[in-house]
Amino acid sequence: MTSRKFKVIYWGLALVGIIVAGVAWMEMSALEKRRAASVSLIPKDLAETLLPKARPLKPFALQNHDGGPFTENQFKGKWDVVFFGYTQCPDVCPLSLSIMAEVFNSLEKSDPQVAEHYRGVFVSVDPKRDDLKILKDYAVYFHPKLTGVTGKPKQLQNIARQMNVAYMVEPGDRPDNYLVNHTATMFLVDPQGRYAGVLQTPHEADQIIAKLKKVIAFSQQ
Amino acid sequence: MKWYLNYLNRREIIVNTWREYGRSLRLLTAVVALGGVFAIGTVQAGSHGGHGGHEGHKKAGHNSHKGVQVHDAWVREAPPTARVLAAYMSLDNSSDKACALVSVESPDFERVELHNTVVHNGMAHMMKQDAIDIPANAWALLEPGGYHMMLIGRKRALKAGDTVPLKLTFRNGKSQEVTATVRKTVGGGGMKHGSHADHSGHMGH
Repeated sequence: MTSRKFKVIYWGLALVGIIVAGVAWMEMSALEKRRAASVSLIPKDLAETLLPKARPLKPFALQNHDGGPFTENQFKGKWDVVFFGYTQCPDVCPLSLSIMAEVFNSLEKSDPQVAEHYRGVFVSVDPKRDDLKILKDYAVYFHPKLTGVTGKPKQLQNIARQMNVAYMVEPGDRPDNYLVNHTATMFLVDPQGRYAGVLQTPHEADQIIAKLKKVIAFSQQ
Repeated sequence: MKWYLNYLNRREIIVNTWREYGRSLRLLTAVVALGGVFAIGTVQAGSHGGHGGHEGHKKAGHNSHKGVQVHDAWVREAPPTARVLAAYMSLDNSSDKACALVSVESPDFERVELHNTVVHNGMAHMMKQDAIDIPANAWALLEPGGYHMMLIGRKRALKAGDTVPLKLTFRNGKSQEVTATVRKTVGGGGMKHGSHADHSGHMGH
């Protein structure tokens, strides 16, 4: 009697074990398959640059440095390298913008067909001090391809939020003397006007050049 | 097949939960590992402090105070509308005494502050410094993306090739006049940012 009970339990357990193993195996292979499918789009060497899926930008309304509108539509047509900062920024902004300029200059010389796919956008998050004239002088000084953009604080927050950009004012000893801490990453917006990628700090011209070339090669496949 | 759809739904949740779990596990591991590193660091720092003899040696040290030598002082050229610029240089302390730069003045600017750029999680922070330490027999490097002098309130136009006088004051009360050259970092100059060393701001004392 006991041996019969034992047998039932034994076979029962074995059956459960087999089922569990079977389900687990199916799950694993399903997960593997899905993982394989999700990474197949972006090549490995661009995995840190391009987002797995470009995100369309919702409407925003800013101004370019000539006084014209700068909305999500102005991003369309070419790839844009976007940097957020302010003109009274002593170190990071001029450093980053001169690297961006170096990248453009060097691409124009070595790979003009790549260079023509790109523009630069400098978004000032300090509209209180950066009027359009100051902004234009500043942007064009670095590179003629660079457009200075700014606008109302709400609209700046709008675009910043969409691109995961943070900035905050650090008060100084006088009301007009303050610093702005801000994201120093550069962003890529694709010709469809979608937030498509990031260029992480520290910025190095040679690395950015290589990445920008790969992005164009990949997007033309 | 309704049960199967239900099951798939639930599976999504379970899989996500496991992913979350995996993430927190990784985070926990990282925290523990970091903690360990800190602990080791603290112990080492503690044992280092134990060698109090060093301090005594320093005090008794030869007084061949050569001061701080300033090399390659330069100011990044900025567009004419920019009122805030930055100065960079290397401060070479060849003496046996630690030293610190505490203040800077320039007739071309309303005032000068010492800052350090720190990029944390992609966000750039300007950290105002009360002083920049230069350990004994060591360098303090002021370079783009790191320690720099923030030159505030430009009083005259500055173009590449111009010079900017700077008066550096150190903690020991001594001060030193330095001449920084304005440099263009973009365009035809052919200069790479901050990598050229032409020793223009050379100063003996």
